[in-house]
Amino acid sequence: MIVIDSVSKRFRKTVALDNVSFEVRNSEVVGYVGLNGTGKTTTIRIAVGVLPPDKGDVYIDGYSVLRDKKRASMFIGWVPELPIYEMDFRALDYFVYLAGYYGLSVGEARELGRKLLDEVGLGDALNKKLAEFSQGMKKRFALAVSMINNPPNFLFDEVLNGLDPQGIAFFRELAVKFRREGRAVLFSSHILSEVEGICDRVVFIHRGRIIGVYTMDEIRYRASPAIEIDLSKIDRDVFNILSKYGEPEVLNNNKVILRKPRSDTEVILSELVSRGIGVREVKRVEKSLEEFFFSLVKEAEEGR
Amino acid sequence: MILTPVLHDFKRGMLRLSTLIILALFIASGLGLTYLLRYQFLTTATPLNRVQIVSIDPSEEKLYLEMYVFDEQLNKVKGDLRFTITCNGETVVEMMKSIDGYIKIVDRIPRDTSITSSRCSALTQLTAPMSYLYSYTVLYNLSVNSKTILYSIEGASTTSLINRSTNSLAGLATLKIFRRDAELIVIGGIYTPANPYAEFDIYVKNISATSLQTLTGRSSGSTSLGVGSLPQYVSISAKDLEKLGFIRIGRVKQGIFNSTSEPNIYMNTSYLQVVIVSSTQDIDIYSNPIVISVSKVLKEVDVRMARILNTMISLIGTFTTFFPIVGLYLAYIYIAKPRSQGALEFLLARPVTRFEIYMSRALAGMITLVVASTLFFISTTISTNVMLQVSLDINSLAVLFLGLTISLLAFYSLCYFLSTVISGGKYLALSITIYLIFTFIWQIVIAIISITTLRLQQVEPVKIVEEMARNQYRSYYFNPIQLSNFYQLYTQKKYVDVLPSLQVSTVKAVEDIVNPYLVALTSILWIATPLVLGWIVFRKANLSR
Repeated sequence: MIVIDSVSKRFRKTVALDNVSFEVRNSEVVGYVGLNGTGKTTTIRIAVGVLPPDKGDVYIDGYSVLRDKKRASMFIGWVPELPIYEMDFRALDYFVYLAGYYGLSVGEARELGRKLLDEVGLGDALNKKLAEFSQGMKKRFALAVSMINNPPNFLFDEVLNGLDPQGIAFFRELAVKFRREGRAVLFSSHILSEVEGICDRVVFIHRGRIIGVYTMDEIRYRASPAIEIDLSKIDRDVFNILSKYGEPEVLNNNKVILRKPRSDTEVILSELVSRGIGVREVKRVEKSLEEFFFSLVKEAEEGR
Repeated sequence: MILTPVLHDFKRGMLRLSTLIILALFIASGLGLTYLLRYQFLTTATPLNRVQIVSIDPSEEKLYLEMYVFDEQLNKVKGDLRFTITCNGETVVEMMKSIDGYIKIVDRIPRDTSITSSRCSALTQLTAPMSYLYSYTVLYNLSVNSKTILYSIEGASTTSLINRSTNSLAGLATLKIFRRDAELIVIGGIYTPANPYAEFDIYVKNISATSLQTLTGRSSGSTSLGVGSLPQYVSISAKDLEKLGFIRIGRVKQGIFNSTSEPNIYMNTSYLQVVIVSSTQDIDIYSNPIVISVSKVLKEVDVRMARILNTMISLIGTFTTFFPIVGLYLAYIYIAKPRSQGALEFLLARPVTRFEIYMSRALAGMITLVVASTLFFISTTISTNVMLQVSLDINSLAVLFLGLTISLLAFYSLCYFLSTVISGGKYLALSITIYLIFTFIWQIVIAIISITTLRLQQVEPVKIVEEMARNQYRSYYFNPIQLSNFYQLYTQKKYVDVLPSLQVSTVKAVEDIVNPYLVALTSILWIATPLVLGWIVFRKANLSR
């Protein structure tokens, strides 16, 4: 379980994170979605213990990354967006080197390295220099290293960026597999649809602040086709009428949004008119996931 | 826990091609230099000392040749002596004799018109056999020309004997004075053909190089005498000399002599003022007062020791001048380069703290340098031991090694600090500049500053060299690479008795500058301070690219 607890971070005058809090439970894949430069990577770097926050803390299975960093690191794996290594190493040698920090002897580390690198599809590149690795290979290598200790928590930072379809499928399936295995996975992306099929929940971040946490069902529901009706009045009768035709939601004084409409617009309108309810405007609303995301961003901007 | 990464970092630092090549070059040059030294020991002539008297009297058909040849340790030198007299390009006398340190020939020469009427020259040649100690040597004696009596006496410092009665040159004398342990050994020769049975007393007196004793003649009233300018009618008696502090150290007869004085009288002097006085009242011959430097007689093993010490110091000097480049490079690959790339961030995501990363890499670099300097030092020590069959004492070796290692560690520590402040190419540019300043520019700048200030202060030229050395040593406290000089000085002080005099004067001039406690403190500070400062920077540093 990963708990981000009131984390704030500032880079000189820029506020990168402002009191960010959320959690990723076990057996859950949480999407972490925001535009580029909104603080996703900063959150993850703080969570993984490589960047100290100005305020707040992150707990990995209960261990603070600030106060108990070494133990916290034992329980978390990290695949960065652009993994950077000491490039003059060969893959297996660097694996063995990093495994040393987990207390593995050289022999154990070599054996495990061969196994894990093979599992992530780098079995043919054991003795290749890291400098010769493609972006996808570097991410697979980071994954193999993260799995040295078989941690129960994972952080995937924009991991699908720059990958070929095979690589994308690999990491998506992996996230789902990890959930099945009971691990907690945070999967960051700047594209909501990228995390759609794999996430249980999505945490939205904008300009260093959390602007919403929704389950995937909720998001789909909110992004589904709907009819927005501007009425002369809204009362219980009106709400009951509309409930027969779908799932109404009052937006403001006179506006109602009818989600999952089960009849044609004309049928709904004719009943409203026949009951003496004035209909001033009707429009059909259909949002994509991204539009939903942008609407959140817009709301956040307006609310600032 | 982090032992494996430390060993891994050490391995990649040590087994790096650049480290290995530089180390191999140093070990090879150490071996080469030692071999060169051995070659020098085997082939270079040990300087031979010689006192020789030659006299040829054609009218009396008499040849007199006396010679004493000895080496630096005052051992007699064996060899073959060839003596020839050549007149008008034609050899008229030729003799071949074996010599065992000493030879005396009193012989008749055939009456030969060419010797009496022509310009002739006499030549002695000594051939000493090749051995471990002596190499092939030929000594050419001076040639002497005369129609009548030829006589010469030869040695390092020659003075004339003056016959007060006749005010003419009555003979020739030469002296060499040596100090060996508690002995004062005087080797010389006196030749007075007119008074073959005369005996002479040798008087000496301690003197500093700059203040010569002025002798005042009894009958000359207020005449004061300078060296080499004894006037007429001055009589110096034994009592006069004793009043002036002279001590008689021996009585010698005409010919070559070798006398040893009482021990423990003249132990602390480098120069002696010497007067040779005839012990026969009626002849009244005395020498000009002369100043003779007293040579230390070193054991052969000491001579080698001095050379070995100097060789090791010069090797260590070269190593500490150039090997810091490896330290500079290690700090680059451990911190500066991965930091500039952002590679330390991925490392920090492992179960490790920043402090452990910082210290493990610092430690790996230090171990690399210690191992490299150990390999270099051991190879040099073994090669000198094997090839030269002498070794410095274990304490001196340990101190030399300590100095060498401390210099390397101190500079590495500085570079390590720099690598936390700036990274990548900027680190390389700055650290190389600092390296050049500390190794090559430093001493030049200190020398220029010293000369300028000392001249402004109108310090005597003789003192300038000493003061420059003192300033250099003062400045070494502020230079990590030069710290090893302090440790070398400790060894030089220990072997001061066997060192060449120039080195001895430097050692003596700077010894009060070098405080062992201050040196130890400075060494610790040079290593620890940059490490601590580096950690202060590194603990908060953003390790992302």
